[in-house]
Amino acid sequence: MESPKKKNIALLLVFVLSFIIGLVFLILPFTSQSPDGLEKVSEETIAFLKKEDFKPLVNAPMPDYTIPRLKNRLDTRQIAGIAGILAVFGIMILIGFLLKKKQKI
Amino acid sequence: MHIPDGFLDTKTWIGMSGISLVFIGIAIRKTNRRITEKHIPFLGVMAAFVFAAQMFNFPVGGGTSGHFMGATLIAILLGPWASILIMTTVLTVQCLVFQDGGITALGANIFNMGVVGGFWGYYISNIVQVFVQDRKAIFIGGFAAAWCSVVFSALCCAIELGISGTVPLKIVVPAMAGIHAVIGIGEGFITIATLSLLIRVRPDLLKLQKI
Repeated sequence: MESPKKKNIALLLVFVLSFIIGLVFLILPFTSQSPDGLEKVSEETIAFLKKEDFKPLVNAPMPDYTIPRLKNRLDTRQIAGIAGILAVFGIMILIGFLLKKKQKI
Repeated sequence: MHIPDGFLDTKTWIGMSGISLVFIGIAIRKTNRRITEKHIPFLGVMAAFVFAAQMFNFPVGGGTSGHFMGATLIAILLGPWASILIMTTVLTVQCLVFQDGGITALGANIFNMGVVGGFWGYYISNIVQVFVQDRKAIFIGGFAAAWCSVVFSALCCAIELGISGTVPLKIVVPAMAGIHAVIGIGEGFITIATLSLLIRVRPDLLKLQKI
């Protein structure tokens, strides 16, 4: 049987992840569409390079935080955001777990 | 501040990838030695928080936006080596899944945001807390560290562009520093707001052993 301590941690994690996902839904509609610092410097301030001038070497499944197949149907940024949050959370927990398991004392 | 493919020349991106790999290797060894069961969920939560916060671009005026970097916040809470590990995970997912930052520039992005951001943030925060010894020390230190981490990361990014021959150093350094000096203020406020929330709801997390 699962210990109460582990159950509490699992519940807390579900709560915190829900809070972060909720935050994404809440703030994403207000995100600025202006270029970020590096884009501004490269495209307008100094105008030395444009991001569009270079093709990425790897075709990512969700380029620019959108899902191409679902574009125009849903706000895919939010879905992409949730996918990213769960991915980094899962990978980091896995890395932490493996490092703890192989710990040299 | 995610450098895309094509902005850095071959010698620079290979060099930066090598330097970052060394830091990641050390970060894995240090984390392996110091990690406890309490750290594991916190590592995951901080990675998720930084990823989510980086999706939000806040306006900084002049038709420019900035986003939270997060390395300093992680370094204050979990230590600089944990910061490198988390930033590496976040930046790699952003690059491979979301095309945010180029794969050839991944090493440079990890160095700029993870290594420089985490280390400068951690040590500046600690130094400020030595001189300011009251209840507000963590906030003053956190704000100063967050601001410096963004500006220093931007300076490293500018130097890499200059070394690549993409743009003259004397032009790109002041341009990047100027814009990121403003973005750093946003980083500072988000950092102290998160620290303030954590102090209220889970003050024990700030006392975890640093990695």
